[in-house]
Amino acid sequence: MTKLVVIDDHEALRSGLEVLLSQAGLDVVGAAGNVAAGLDLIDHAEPDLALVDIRLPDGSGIDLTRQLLQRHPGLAVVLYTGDADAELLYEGLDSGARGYVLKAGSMDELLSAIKQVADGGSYVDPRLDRILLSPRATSHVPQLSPREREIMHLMAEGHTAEQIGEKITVSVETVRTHVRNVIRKLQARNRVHAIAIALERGEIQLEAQPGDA
Amino acid sequence: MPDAPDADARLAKLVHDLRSPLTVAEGFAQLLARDEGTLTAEQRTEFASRVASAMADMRALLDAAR
Repeated sequence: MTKLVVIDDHEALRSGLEVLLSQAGLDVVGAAGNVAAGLDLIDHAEPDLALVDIRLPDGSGIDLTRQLLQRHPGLAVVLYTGDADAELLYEGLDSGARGYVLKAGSMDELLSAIKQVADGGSYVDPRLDRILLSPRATSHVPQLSPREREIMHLMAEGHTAEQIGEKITVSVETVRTHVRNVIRKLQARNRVHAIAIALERGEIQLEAQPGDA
Repeated sequence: MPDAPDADARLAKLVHDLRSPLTVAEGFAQLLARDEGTLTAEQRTEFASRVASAMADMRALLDAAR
């Protein structure tokens, strides 16, 4: 069972998420309302995954993510924010977070994102592909090969390297090689950042979600 | 009367602030709606109270923004 912590300054949301995520079968081992308490909690509770709000009263959830990943490299961080700001998104992805979820989404979407990240995948809220698409970005000549685009598309949908390998009938090592090449080509810092850049450049597109007006 | 940028900023903050209680209310309402008899009476009461409390938070936010 995935052990997770919730770090959000909104008390009702924090305590509500503790109950809702527990009811969904996750092992919520603690919650904190600020950066300092979050660091302390994760040092002691040693969760698999941290759900982190970006705006915290004593600092940024993005800075907290950087600190957490330095101290706990195996920790999966999902940033959970009400801000659909492109610059904040880039900074968040640069921090090493494996998931980026908007509070505009439903609880089911949040659960799906947590599950994908806990299973070793990554997740970027589908609403952000529109935000990231810009005329400047889409004017770029695509740099990725069809196979690389296919793999990044599957990765953006939350599939792990193992699942992608099975789906397109190549070895997991081949998938990882393609992903490394994409990260290098796009000058990304990690695979989630690469997905964000590929979306921004229009090289991959996600299907619209039900209820996504 | 506030100028347009102020009004836009206030509206953006209101929308942002409403998301947290909305998420709580939606989540607990879904839990109650999907329950197939596994929740205890105490849990049902607690979850309904959380929906009501979140709705009260939303009302307070909207009233404060008038």
